[in-house]
Order: sequence, then C-alpha cells, then structure tokens
Amino acid sequence: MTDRRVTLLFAGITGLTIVVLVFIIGYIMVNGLPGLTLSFLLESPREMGRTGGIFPAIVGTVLLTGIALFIAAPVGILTAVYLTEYTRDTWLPKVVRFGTESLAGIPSIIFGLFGFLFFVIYLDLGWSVLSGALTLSAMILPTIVRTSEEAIRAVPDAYREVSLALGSTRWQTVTSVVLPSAKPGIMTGVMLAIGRAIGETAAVIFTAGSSLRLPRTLLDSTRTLPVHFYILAREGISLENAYSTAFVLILLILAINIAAHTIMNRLTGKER
Amino acid sequence: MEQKDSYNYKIRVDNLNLHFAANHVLKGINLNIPENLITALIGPSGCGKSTLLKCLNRMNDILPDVRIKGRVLLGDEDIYADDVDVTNLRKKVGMVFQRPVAFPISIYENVASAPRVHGVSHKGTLDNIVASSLAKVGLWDEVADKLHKSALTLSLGQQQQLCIARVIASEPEVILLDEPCSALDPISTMKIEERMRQLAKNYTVVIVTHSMQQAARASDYTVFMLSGEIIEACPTGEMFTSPKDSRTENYITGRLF
Repeated sequence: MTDRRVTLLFAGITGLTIVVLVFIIGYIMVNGLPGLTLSFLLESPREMGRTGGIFPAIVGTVLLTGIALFIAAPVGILTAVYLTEYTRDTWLPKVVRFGTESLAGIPSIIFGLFGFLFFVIYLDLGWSVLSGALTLSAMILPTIVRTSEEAIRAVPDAYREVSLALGSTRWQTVTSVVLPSAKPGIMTGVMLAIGRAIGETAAVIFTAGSSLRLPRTLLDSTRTLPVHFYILAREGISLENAYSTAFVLILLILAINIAAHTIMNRLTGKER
Repeated sequence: MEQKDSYNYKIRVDNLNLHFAANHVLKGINLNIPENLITALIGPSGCGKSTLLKCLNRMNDILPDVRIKGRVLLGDEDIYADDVDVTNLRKKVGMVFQRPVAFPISIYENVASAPRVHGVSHKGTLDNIVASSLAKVGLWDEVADKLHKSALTLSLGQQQQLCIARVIASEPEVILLDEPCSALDPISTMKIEERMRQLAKNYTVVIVTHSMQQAARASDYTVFMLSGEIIEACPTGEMFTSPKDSRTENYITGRLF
C-alpha cells in the first residue's frame, strides 16, 4: 500500500515537471509561431527589429558560440587529460578542480564585466565577435574541464594497464584508449557548455555589443538571439518578434542537441 | 636452487629482489623459464607469483614505490638494463590479464590496436594480422562476419580469447597470462587451455594460476612459490607425482592454506 502511494507521489511530481516544461515551451510556441516565417529567418531587422527578420542575430549566435567552443573545447579537454593522466596524484588537480568549481558557480555577468574590462578595453578589441567569443570561452571552460575530467577518470584503470602492456606509450594510451572511452561523457560536457554559451545574455551584451548589422569581420559588433529578444522585450519594441526569436533559439538548441546525439551515436553507440 | 639443463631457456631470472614500499615482495628469485613450453606459477594468494610475472614485462614499473634489483634476461638481453626500450620489450613479452579487458571498440579495432601501436598502418597488412591472430586463438569462425561489431557483444570467454589474439597480433616471443581463466566458466576455461597448448608451439607461455588442476592439466613446467620465494621448480609431472619439498607436497595436496 505504501509502495503504491510513493509510486503515485513520484509519478505526480514527475508529471508536474513535465507540465511546467510543456507549458513554457507551449506558451512560447503559441506566441512565437505566428511570426515565424522563412523571411523572418533570412532577412535583416528593420526599425530596430520591429519588422524584418533576425538573420544577423542567428549568424552572431552561431559565430560566438562556435568560436567560443573552438577555443574552449580543445583547451578544456587537454587540460583534463593533463590533470587525470599526467598529474593524478599531485596537488595540482585538486587546486585546479577547486578553481574550476568556483569559476563554474560565478554569475555570467561577472564574466561579462571581466570581458568588458580586459578584452574590450584593455586589449582594445572593442565590442566585437572576438571579445564576446573569448569571454564565452572563458565562461564555459570550467564546465568542459570539469566534465571531461570526470569522464576520463571514469575510464577503468584496466584499460590503461592493458594498453601499456601492449607496448603503448602514455600518449598513445590517451589517444587510442582513454579518449575514445571517455567520449560520451566529454560530449555531454561540451553539450552543456554549448547550452550555457548559446543562451548567454549578460556576458554578451557587455562584450559583443548589440549591433543589428551582419558582422563582416571578427572585430565587428554583433548581437545574439538572446540579446535580441531581451532588447525587443525590454524596450517594448515588438513582443511578437521577441517570442518568435525565443522560439528560434529553442529550435536551435534542439537542433544542436539532436545533431550532437546523432554524431555521438555514430561514433560510439551504433556498434553496441 | 638447481634446475636440470635439458631445456632451452627463454628467460633467466637472476637474483631478483622486489620491494614494494616497505614490503620485501620477491626475495632473491632465481628461475629459468623454458622456451616454447607452458610454465605455470602456482602458490597461495600473496606469494608474489603475479608480481614475478609482471617483472617479466616490466609492468611493475608503472606502480609507485617499487624498487627492483637483479637481472632478468630475455634471450641474451637484460630487460632491466638502462638502455632498454620498454615499449619494445612489451611488444616482445605480451600480457593477458585476469579479467578480460576488451576495449569498447570493434572486434577488428581491438586486435588491430596492438600492431597499430607499433607503427603498422597499411590496411591490407592489418587485415591479415587481425585474421591470423583471431584464427590462432580459435575465434575467427565465430566473429568473421561481425568484425566491426563492438567487442563488448562477445561473451566473457570470447573476450578473453580476443585479448589473447590482441597480444598475438604484436608478434610477441613470450605470452604472460595472469590467472586468465579465473573470471571464466569451465567451458571457456577449457577452450583457453586448448589454445595455450597450440600457442606453446610458437611462443613461450607463462601462466599464473591458483587452480592446481589447471597447472597439472595445462602446463609443462611448474614453479611453486611461497612468501616471495621459489620453493620448487620442475617439470609438471614430477611436481605433482613426487614433489621434493614437503611444503610443495602440502600445498598441492591441499593441506597448506
């Protein structure tokens, strides 16, 4: 009897979670779908975004997130490899872990402020794609280091032992055995990082600015989708277009998730 | 301890001492291991037989706090000399572990990983090595049509065969097996033992086992160890019919430990 009640309770709580989720996405969809046309996706905004499309913001979002990832993913993964495979029993991983954990908990606006002072002003990169991407890469680096480290640590030591017994060097062991086994976990971390970067507003306004023009070089200012709908809603420019933009962002995140899972399955899961 | 010299010896261990932190694990080991035969290391848990086995391909090197003194000759080469290339040594002296460790990649890639490590990258050559290695362990017929399936789809026994194939793929001279059947069912164990017999025609095989029956069934030469020392080393038949040391007799008849 108690078992039944607990099951019901849990089912109810799970149901509630689903309802909240469906309600939020549904609400945005209902409000955003009417304005979502092909021209909305492919045109530049007019009258500050009251009419026209969001093409430059889509480009800005993809550019910023892509470049941030291009910098942070290799650095983060190699750092994790170094910490787990080369300095495992020393103080260094502990210090770095403490540092990354602290950094991961810092509000993004702090990263924005840092990016503004350091990249925009001190390095004189201005409000630009580059400043924004560098700031985002600093922001997502801790996530990537931390999750990659966990994933690499979870690879059984027996794999390493066998690989060494086959005559592999340490580096060969890392590239041919450890990283392939840790790949699903690392990919999850990278996905989390993409999610964090793509939805970022505060850090981006401070560093990439909010230009509505299509960026021509990495030193041009740009605006991302979240910044765009923040401004549309905040300044009361067009609530309809804000909803449509939000909906596009959700679709973009969904598409990236599906793509990442497909790639991951192709690389690891298919053969099982 | 004297050993009869009717064998060609592949490995000679000369006054080997191993300390692990404060423990004196191997105490003055002298042992000759005959070529192209199966040598079994037996003895109670903690007697140092696995440690001795791992001295033969320097797998103890990766542990912290290990000090090793003495010489181990593979042919004429001292494998503990300063100029020895450990990766090359491990190519010549392959090792199979207690639990089958198949990497979570395809069967083909598992076997190919060994020659790849040693610089073989030509597709046709790899195909040949993979096929012949799997054939030598008797796994080819079972996996020929699913080479690109994950190795984790195989049974434990098959995975252990795969691990042996992977070792063979790097064309070793010596194969070390560390209790290779302790995680396997009796039928898989029998298959592995049959294979060892085949392999001993071309390779020197050293097996650590805690199964007396396995040593008696599957080995040509047996070494009995106790507390880090070798008590007796002689042809398997002799050891199990007329052991010279009373401790050996006690152990193989089950009166010790």
